[in-house]
Parts: sequence; C-alpha cells; structure tokens
Amino acid sequence: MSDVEGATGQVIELRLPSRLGYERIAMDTAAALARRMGFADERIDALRTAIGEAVTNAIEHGNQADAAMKVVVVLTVRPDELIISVSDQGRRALELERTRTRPHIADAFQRADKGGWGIWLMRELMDEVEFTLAPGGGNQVRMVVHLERSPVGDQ
Amino acid sequence: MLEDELTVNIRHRDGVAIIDLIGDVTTFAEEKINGAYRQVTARGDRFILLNFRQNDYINSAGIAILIGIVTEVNQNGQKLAVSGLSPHFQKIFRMVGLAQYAEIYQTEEDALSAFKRLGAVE
Amino acid sequence: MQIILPSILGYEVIARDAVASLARRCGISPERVEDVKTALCEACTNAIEHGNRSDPQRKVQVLCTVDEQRLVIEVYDEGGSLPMLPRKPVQWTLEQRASLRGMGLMLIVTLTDEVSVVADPNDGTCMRLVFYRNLAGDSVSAS
Repeated sequence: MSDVEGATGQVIELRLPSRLGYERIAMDTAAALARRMGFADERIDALRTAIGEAVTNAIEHGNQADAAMKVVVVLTVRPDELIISVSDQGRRALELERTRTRPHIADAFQRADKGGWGIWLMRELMDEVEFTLAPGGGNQVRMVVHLERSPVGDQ
Repeated sequence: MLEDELTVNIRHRDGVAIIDLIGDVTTFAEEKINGAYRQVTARGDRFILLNFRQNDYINSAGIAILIGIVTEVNQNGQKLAVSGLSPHFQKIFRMVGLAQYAEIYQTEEDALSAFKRLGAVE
Repeated sequence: MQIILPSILGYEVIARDAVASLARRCGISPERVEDVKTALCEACTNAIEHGNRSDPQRKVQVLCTVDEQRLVIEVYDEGGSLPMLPRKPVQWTLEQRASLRGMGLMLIVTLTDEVSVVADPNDGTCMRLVFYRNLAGDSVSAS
C-alpha cells in the first residue's frame, strides 16, 4: 500500500451511527490500517485507545447519543504518518479550555464523577492532538501519529 | 449487540477474592464490576485481585469504574491488586495513577504470592 | 455504517476489516465472517477495477445495515458497467476458463445468501450482498 500514497495522502472515511459500541469499529479499522502501514504494536494499542476515546466523546457528548446523528472518522494515510480526524454534529459544543486539564486520581477519589480521563489520554498517547470546530458546526478532533521507521538507512 | 462484552466471575484462592474480568471494561461494565466488589466485600474479604483476561478494550469510562473501586477499597481498609493486563493497559494504569493504589502483577500466581507475604491465608 | 474508499487496490482490505469487525460484533459466526470478508473483497475489487477503472479520484462506498435477520452490505461504484452475475448454484466445473472477474463474481454468488446488482441513480453501480444472521455456523462451501 505504501507505494500508492501521494504527498497529500489517501483518505478513508468511516461514518458511524451515534451508538456506543460503534467506536470499536473505528478502533478495529484504524488498527488494521496502522498495522498495514507498519506501525509497531505498542503504537497501534495507543491509537486504539485514543480513537476509542475520541469516537466515544463524539457519540456521547457531541451527538448526545442520538443514533440518527453521525460520527465521521477520516483516516488520512501519508508515507510517514496517519492522521485521524473525528467529528460529530455538535449537539453540544466542547469547552475547549477543558481539553487542556490534567486530571489527578486523588481528586477523583473525592468526586462522585470519577471520569474525565478521555481527552487527557488522547493527548498523552498521540503525537499531535488538536480540537477545532468541524466545518459543519460540530466538534472535531484531529490526531496525528508519526510512523517511526528504524534508524538504519534513514536519511 | 455491540455493548456487552464482559464476563465477571468470582473465585477464592489462598484467602484472596479473585474477580475475573473477561472481556472489555467500558461503561457497560459498571453494574457487573460494582456488583462483584459488593459481593466479596459483604463476605468480609480483605484481599481482592482484579484478574483481567482478554481485555482488548479498557476505556476512560472503565478507568472511572476502577477508580470507584479503589476509592471504596481505601475506605474499607482492603488491599487491591491487578493481574493479567497487557503492557498497554499496564502503562495506562501507571499514567492514570491507579498503579499507586493497586499493585500490578503479570499473573494471578504472582499476585497470590505477594498477597501471601501480606498475610493472606486460606 | 458507511465506509468510503479511494479506488486503489489494497484499500479493499480496510473496508473488509471494518465490516468484519461489525459482523463479528453482531454475533455472526467466525466461519461466516470469513465468507463475508471474501465476498466483500471481491465486490470492492470489482468496484475499484471495473466500476471505477482504478481512478483514485473516484470513490467506492460500502454501506452496511444490520437488522434482526440480515447483514446487508451495499458496494457502490461510480462506473456504469453492470456485471452479469452467474446463477446459483454456481457451476464451477463449467467455468474453468472464466476471467478473474468472472471468478470473483462466482465467489460472491457462492458465499452470499442473496446478491443483486442494480444501477445506481447517480450513474454508478450498486452490488448488494445479503447474509442471513440466523444461518450462523453454516459456512457455505465453495465445492
């Protein structure tokens, strides 16, 4: 597959209903693609977790679990990276300042809601993570993972 | 059809309550995991092992459930450990800070011998 | 669920993996999932090579719907040539000299419970593959 991507990259688009469980399809699809691109197992595991969180957020938060609303996952294959963009239809906008907080487990013990780890995990696991407004008005997150090739014979 | 992919079993070995979590730990796991924890706690178990098997998928909602268990374990003066996690989820447990409250072991046997040193007996 | 691919050979396996994930997770037996994967790959390859003439600008669209009885997979291309599907049961022995495309279509007919080809209003072609969910376990053999 590596000989067919141009500099702009080939694009695979996945449109999913906003029903929990469908994030697994996005995880499996991206993992299959990443494996074919030559990513290491460890990076593929990280990618699975990050995509799972992004799609779950889009389903539950952005689209408020309205199954008729779509989550769009765009996978762009480039020779040296995989770009994943996940967008929802924005029934509820993400508060961008809340995408930068680092949760602490000791605080979570005190709270009734022990969640809030998803976006932080995405940032920790991916090389680049950026939240924006989708062209159609929903939330969009763009994540990049770089393909690390073995140093031998590089450049 | 896409939701429920977790089986929870409770076993006892060498004075340790072992909760097997077979499958995925996501928001759908909440009742099953909390139910198992309540059951072993009602029995008076002090040493609890969460033994993960076939976990392709533990997400942030699953992590929140486990933090809930740790909160109660601390309040109830119990001792919690985990085993069977893949290297990826071991890493995530360390990142989140769960590993400070629940020691991570590769296998059930490793966890049981550690519990034995802490005083768990049949 | 919908998957949109560039018309480049090799990308059909990504659609295959996405649909296999869905099929597996809605309780279709592992043997039958293999049939779904093979039939889908043949349908996508046909759409890429014949429907879209391997023009990367043209897209192949795979649309999956699941209900209680069936998994329905529609593969759309942007070309106009309707393939002729062989009839069930496929006479393999009589088709020794079939083209590769012919072989692909024979496989699709053999592995699916129902298959049809219709012209899509937007000048494309849609191949519709149907798998019955209650036949879980009854893998169709190609003999």
